[in-house]
Amino acid sequence: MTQAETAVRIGSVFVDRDRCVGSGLCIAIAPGIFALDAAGQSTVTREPSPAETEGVLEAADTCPVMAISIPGTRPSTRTTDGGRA
Amino acid sequence: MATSFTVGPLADDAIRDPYAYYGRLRESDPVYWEDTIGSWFVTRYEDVVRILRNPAQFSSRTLTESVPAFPPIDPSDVSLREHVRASEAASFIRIDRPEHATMRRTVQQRFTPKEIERWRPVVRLLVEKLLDDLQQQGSMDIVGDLARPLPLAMITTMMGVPEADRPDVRAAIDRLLELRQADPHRFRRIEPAITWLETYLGQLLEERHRRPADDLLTLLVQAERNGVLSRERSLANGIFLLHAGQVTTVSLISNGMLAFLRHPDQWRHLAEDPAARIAPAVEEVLRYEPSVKAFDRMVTTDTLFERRELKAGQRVYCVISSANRDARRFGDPDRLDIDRSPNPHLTFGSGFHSCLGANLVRIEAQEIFSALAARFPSITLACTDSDLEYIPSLVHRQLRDLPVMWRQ
Repeated sequence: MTQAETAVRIGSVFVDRDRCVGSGLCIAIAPGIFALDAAGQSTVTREPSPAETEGVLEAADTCPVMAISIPGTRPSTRTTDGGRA
Repeated sequence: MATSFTVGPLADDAIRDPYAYYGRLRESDPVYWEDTIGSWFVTRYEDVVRILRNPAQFSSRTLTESVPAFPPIDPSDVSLREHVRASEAASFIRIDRPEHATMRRTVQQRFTPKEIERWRPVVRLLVEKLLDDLQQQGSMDIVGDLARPLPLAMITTMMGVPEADRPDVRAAIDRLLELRQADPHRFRRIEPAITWLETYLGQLLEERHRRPADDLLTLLVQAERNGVLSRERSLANGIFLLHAGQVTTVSLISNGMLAFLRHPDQWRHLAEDPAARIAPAVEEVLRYEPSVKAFDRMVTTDTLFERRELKAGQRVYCVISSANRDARRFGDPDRLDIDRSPNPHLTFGSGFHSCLGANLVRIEAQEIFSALAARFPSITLACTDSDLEYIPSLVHRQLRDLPVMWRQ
């Protein structure tokens, strides 16, 4: 499946349900925006207000399995192409 | 032969009280180059967060081949250290995105709040059994009698390491505590421990290939089959999980108990209502005594940071022991206050390398401290405070022992 088929989208925040394992970190960081569903996966509950944007960006930065994406925002600070030791 | 430092973060006074040592630097020189270690040290909360949240500029690949051992080692031990370095560098804590996410995903599912909560009854039973056996003694060594056995039992159970092998596994893991100590010959002891762990875990992984089980080793085997992990990397990550699951929790339980012994009002406050107060109390202990004093990162490109010129390839230590005590972020930061809320400590890091085992260590500490407070409200130190000793590590804050006693 492609991301478009599996992602939950509300506003501009995506949670890729193929990747999400329910770490709960996004909910701890942005509790009003993310919630765990019955399957134990994160869902986006509503569009973040401008004041909440920073928390959502932090949640995307923090997600250990890179399941959260926010198209068009600072991708260069969230990923690096290194790591092939 | 041990190298001893009289200045810097490995000097006796800084090992004993890193809060005073780094606290002075936090005010006078918050981004400073430490010559004895050959690294930058960053001590303010906001600066630490900025670094941990900027992995493109500050990489977790701090153990590449070109980086010499630190603290320095004897030249004759370079090949021993290279084996250990390669193992350390292959664990996901030392790897950047996007590869980190793929590797961490192999085991993340077992560390979610929901999954970890299912272990709470097991933890509670283990704690009760340990304390039942100790209760009549009237005294114990918190480190050896309580802080070591519980996390060892938990991480080896979750991994799938047979109970009979735990003493050998623990002995090998304990050797890794020397990694950031000063002895230039330390790799003569560390390398055989890594070799033993690789051989031992290699046998267990072969068994899981033949007969899968419900454990972390089986998840590593699945990742091998899916092509996510090479055998080398699944061994490195197995060793990392055992090490991280053991050492940091031992420190938290011992250092946390000492913090309570030094703040008897807070211990009594917890003992009055452990069920209601234990969760914030454990967060406060995490803030007050972070088990890992500093996380390191590697500068990827030359950059100006707080008016300092950081060069590509230089190491930066983010000092959690200092950031957690920064008065710019926490009111009355040197006071242990178990009701503190909110408590945005950095003990588990920040960003996508945030501690995988955070929920596990939380329930282990919650169960231990609430049981201790309920059973031993009058617990006291059974030695002179100044007799307590820490292992001389740059990274780990680990007491050698912590004798306590209580009224029968």
